[in-house]
Amino acid sequence: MKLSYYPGCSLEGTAADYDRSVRAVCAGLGVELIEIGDWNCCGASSAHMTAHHAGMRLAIRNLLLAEQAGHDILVPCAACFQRLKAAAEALREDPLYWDGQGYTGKRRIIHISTLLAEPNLVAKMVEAAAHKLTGLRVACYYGCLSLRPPRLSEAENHEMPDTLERIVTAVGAEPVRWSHRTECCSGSLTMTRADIAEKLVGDIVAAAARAGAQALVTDCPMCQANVESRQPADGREGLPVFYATELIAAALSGDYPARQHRGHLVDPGVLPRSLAVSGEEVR
Amino acid sequence: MTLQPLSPTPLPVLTGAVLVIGGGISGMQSALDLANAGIKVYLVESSPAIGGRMAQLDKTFPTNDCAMCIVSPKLVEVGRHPNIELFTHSEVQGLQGEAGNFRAAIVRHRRFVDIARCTGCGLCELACPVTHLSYFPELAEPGAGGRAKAKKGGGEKRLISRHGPPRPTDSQRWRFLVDSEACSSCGACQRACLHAAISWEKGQPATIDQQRCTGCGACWVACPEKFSAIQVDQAAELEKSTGAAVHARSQTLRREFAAGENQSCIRCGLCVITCAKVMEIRALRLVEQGIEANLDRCQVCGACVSVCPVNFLRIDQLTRRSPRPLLNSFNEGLNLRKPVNIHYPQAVPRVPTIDPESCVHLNSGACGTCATVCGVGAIDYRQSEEQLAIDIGSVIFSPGLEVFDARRRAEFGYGVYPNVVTSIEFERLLSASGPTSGTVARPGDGRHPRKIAWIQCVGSRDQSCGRDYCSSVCCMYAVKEAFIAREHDAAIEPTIFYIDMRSFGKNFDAYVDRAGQQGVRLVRAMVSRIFEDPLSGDLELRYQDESGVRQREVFDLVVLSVGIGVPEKVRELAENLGIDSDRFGFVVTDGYRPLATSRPGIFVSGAVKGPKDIPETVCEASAAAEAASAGLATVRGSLTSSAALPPEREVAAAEELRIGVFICHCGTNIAAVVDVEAVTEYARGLPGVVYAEHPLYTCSQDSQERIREIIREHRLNRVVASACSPRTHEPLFMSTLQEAGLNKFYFDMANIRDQCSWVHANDPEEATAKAKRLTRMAVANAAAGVALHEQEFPVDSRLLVIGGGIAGMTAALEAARQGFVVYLVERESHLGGQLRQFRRGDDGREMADYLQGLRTEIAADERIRVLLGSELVAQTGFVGAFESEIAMPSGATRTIRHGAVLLATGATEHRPELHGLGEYATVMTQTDFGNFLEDGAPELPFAPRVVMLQCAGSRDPEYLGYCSRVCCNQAVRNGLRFLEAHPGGRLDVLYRDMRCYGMGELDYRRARQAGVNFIRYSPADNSPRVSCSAEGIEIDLTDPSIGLPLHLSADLLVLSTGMVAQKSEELASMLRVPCAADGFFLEAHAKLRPVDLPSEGLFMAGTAHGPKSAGESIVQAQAAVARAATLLSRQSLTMSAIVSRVDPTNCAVCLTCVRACPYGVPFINEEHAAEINPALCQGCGICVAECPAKTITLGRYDDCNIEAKIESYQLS
Repeated sequence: MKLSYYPGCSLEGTAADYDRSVRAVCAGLGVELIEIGDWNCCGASSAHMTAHHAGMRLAIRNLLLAEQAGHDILVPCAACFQRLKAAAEALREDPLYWDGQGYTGKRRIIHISTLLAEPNLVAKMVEAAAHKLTGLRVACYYGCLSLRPPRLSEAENHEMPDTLERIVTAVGAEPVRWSHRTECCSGSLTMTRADIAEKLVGDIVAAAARAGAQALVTDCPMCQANVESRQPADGREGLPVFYATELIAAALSGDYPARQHRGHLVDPGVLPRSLAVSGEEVR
Repeated sequence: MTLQPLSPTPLPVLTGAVLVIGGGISGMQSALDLANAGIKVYLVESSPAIGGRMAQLDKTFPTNDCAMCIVSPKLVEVGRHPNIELFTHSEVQGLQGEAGNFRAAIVRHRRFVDIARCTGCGLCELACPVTHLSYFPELAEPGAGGRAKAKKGGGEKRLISRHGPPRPTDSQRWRFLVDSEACSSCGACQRACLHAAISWEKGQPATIDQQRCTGCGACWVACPEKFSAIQVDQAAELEKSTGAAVHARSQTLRREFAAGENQSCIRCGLCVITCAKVMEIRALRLVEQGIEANLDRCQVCGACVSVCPVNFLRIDQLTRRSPRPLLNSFNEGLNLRKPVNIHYPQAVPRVPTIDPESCVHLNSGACGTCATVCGVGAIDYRQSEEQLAIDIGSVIFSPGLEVFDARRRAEFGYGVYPNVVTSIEFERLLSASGPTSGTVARPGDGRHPRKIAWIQCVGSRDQSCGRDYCSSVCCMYAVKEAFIAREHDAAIEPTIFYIDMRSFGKNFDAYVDRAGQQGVRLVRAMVSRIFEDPLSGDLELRYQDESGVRQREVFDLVVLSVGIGVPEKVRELAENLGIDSDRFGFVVTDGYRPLATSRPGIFVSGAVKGPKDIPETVCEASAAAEAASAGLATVRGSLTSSAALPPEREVAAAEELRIGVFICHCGTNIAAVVDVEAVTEYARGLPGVVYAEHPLYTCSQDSQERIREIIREHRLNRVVASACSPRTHEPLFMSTLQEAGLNKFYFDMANIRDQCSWVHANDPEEATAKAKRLTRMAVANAAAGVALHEQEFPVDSRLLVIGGGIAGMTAALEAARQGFVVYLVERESHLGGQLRQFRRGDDGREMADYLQGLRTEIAADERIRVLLGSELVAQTGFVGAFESEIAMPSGATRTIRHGAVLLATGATEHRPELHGLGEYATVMTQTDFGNFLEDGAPELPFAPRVVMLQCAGSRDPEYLGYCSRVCCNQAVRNGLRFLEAHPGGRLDVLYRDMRCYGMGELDYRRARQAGVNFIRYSPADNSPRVSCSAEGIEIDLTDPSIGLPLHLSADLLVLSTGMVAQKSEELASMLRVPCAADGFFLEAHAKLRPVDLPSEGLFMAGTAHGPKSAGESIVQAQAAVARAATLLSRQSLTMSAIVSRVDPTNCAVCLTCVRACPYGVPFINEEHAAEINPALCQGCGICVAECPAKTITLGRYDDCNIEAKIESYQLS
């Protein structure tokens, strides 16, 4: 399988650990990624909030580039995913206005967990995960941008998604049942209203802990950064937030490199510990 | 009188039969009305029993009647009706031909049980050990028979040992012997025996020491199959099968070990025996510490778990595959069922069905236990699917509804959070015959919930999931469920979250108010999401309250009020039948011919025509029956049959008693507990008993024949059956007596099943003693019995219709089409009633054209005699033979005779003196406004401002206390037309609840999209202050959606004022029918007899019953004609033999009976004594009990009967 790859800015910066794990997992599962040449900002964050046109055209340029490559487009960042989907819709509705002549819309824009939860890839994962993460209890956390608004995201079940659960189960981790899976992490307020961010993140982390989770698993770089950074300083041990691809990469390789470790603001020790346990069992 | 053919020209030969599709309340009502009016009925139901959704409900609103109690008489009546042929577990596959002459193809699915033989005893279901859907091995060749042998050895094993080491029992032990001839001296049995009871030496056959043996069967299982040297020598029920024997011992041990909790294994060996010898799997083995399970061999059928008498095993311990429990669909999957099961306890037919997917015998060839326990040989594993063709004249399509799949509103977590249930599941949780026996318990942990929330409009009024319409019933059922939940457990605090409270039906608002007083909390809010606490299972609801503040509230249980819709299968069937449906799947009809589908000859009824509650469904069902039979009136009675009975033998008073007693085994249902032989022996010695026997099934067909012979042979003059419930079986035995030429009241029944073997299963001795006592009492009662006779009297087939509005005109025309002569009496000088005030109907068509069409048809029909300017002034007689005095416009009176009365006196628009109505031209009612729009409204300014005030003088105890149901829809329609005519206009609708039920919701949404402002007010704390003067109209109120005060200036004020009943007290007292305080007539039963008046032979239709739309009035008119036709189509009526009779000699004329009778039947006659008309008496016996002079008697329930029973009880 060949896919065009759109990393976006996060995956080049704050979420470089995400990028590494996505590439590792795709390589491990036989998905070839071809990075879109000369890609630019997706238009999220500042652009679409200040200048609608600018935001839209930034995203559209990426789509037109991908169109030439001729593959479906894999987007790991939830914000990029949502902007690209919005751009695709705009192009579909009014291609002339957006100078999108020649855009066919045939290339699917796929968010990473939708891809990985496809039955054939899940089956591959079950097979390839030599180091099952047995006993690792995780709270799958989706946030908002990959699901909402459903008109844009075309998510299968935007209120009760289960792609992350399917993925983590495939590598042997145990998803907990909890209710805050699609709650807002307050990512867009994290700088301006830290008080609100701390409250919302506090609710999410408390709910995950109450459900017995040792960590959260997400597929959005904003959620990852925000939930790890805004955990309340109440003396309790925080919960690390992993990218789903980090878990898969670890289960495939049996290794959780220090480089990944350093990407976390909350101690991610549970993952290597779980690997160690599974190693014991293998022996 | 005889029926005249409809037209003098010869007609094509019609088929006097109707196919009714769907056996819910709708199909049953249609079937009964048709069959009772001389039309043969074929009733096709896809599930194994009739009853439909209503049978699943606990109670019904607004009377809180038990649904099962009121529907089961109908189930029984349909099941026993000679002119209704039932096809259950069957489907219609196609329909050819045309109206009058259809041929339908029907497929009867395999049930694997012979309906004719089955007695419904339920033993098969009890004895079936399977509870889960097995993982059957794929058969190499289908139909090759037998199952592939599981490979020996191998497979992961797990030891199951809990609660300490096994404590072997030898209670009720089986005896095993070694067949020394067959023994190969391998020693497997000796190694398997855990009690050192087997001695064996190499080369020698084994022997069993019976002193040491505990009968666990380990040896039997261990003995290689090819030798089969170990044999069971003694075991109860073994002659039937191993499965039957296992069941028998399991039941006995279960009773013995009932007390202990968390018991260790008792090593009865039943699980291992079942697995090896019944299921032929051999996945279990008895070992020293407990049971050893082979995880890879287990087929996960659950048999071992279900036969274990001490609940030692758990299915998830026995396998690595996930167990697939067989969920009981009737209980909405809240508990388990067996592959062979009776659909529900009161099912008709009470015949089980075997599920071919999960039955072990049908898949692997093993087991077959049910066939061996069935005493009448009704199980037939080789039954094949049946293809049938039936000829009918018309079709009624009433396949029913499905509830919304709540998983599609995933924010509520249904299917994920165990304590979120749907409303239909909650009905089952409330039901006494449901999975929790009526205890309200959380599915998650079985705990009793305290705080319960209902969330309304789940899958209703929601275009995001393709359910734009309102489901019409959810508000009321939620209030009812909340109400009943509190009745079950006063600690429950119910809260209902709703958008609009749509309690628009008759007396519904009063019911909601009563629920409020009973502690049901109503919160107007949309719940956005449910959060579950993963530890406690409690549920946090988030919503915004009416003041706009965000709230979080925790509940123990959440009930989702799921909407109703059309199942996919029904849509396909509708397409197959060639009838049009809308985009939701609801069948489309014309508003003025509301039951006729797009294909002539097919009529529709019930929720498949749009969401509706039970009374409306019953009404439509009767109406559909009328519509379907109108074209077949000439062939009425051509295909129906009536049983011919032999002449009745006179039993002289002096004739000595010759009583025959039949004590039923009911398979082993009774006989397993009650010693029926002892009871029979005892019965033989009772005074007057000349014959007694104990049939295996007294109710089976061959037993019935035998009873008939015995009655003749022994010249019996009384018969007693000690068996099951008289509710279900008394009519059967009584007809057997009649067939033997004996009066059917020379019979009595003792219920020794429900009252002895079932409730005293643990005490066989006492149960037997009680069975003797009950039999003795029944014998005494039968001895005191006298012959009673049902009387027949002729029926006048003419119908009197009072009122010439839409209901009365429709009724007259329909009755004439049915072949009856109609007198249509109208007080005014013209026909048309209230609809003459309307320019257009609900669908926008000209009303005047429609009414003129009806008038022309009526004038052309020689069967209809119209009496204009006339009024009923006096009435005498009773059902079938009424005599009415009509005052004619000339001043003269005229007497007419008729068999039934149809009241259609109607209602008028309410015109209260409110907000200047009648004073200013700018203030008008909705009806005025509708006509005003028609006339082009020239006096309105360019951009007119209109305010509509809903509930103006409605739902207000000072004016009309009730909701008039039609005003909201009328306002929305007028609003849409107003904005069409005046695109620059502004319309504000001030409302309390927008009650746009059903498809009205679609218009409501269109109106919002068109820009109509809907502003809610509440009379208690935010009542609009309206000031009207010649200068203009000014209104002040607070808009709750923005929380700010609002000032509206209007050019027009339109008041939705409601409907008020015609003055009806005089008519009510003349006809002796009740009339509520609000002036509307009271129906005989709010749920199931919506168009019947409580007095026999009187019916009603239209707004005389309560406010309703024109379309709904037409349905009621047709329904009332159908109900009347069940009387008028008969030559004669039969009066019940059980009626009260007054002996005038002792009557003191105290009027006690006159006052006590709920039906107003007793009166004082010219001889100055109370008299009870047997044609009107309902036989309830209230007057008999009340009469101080004890001069009223009720056949069969006389003092002599009761005294005979009591005296016999006291004899020891």
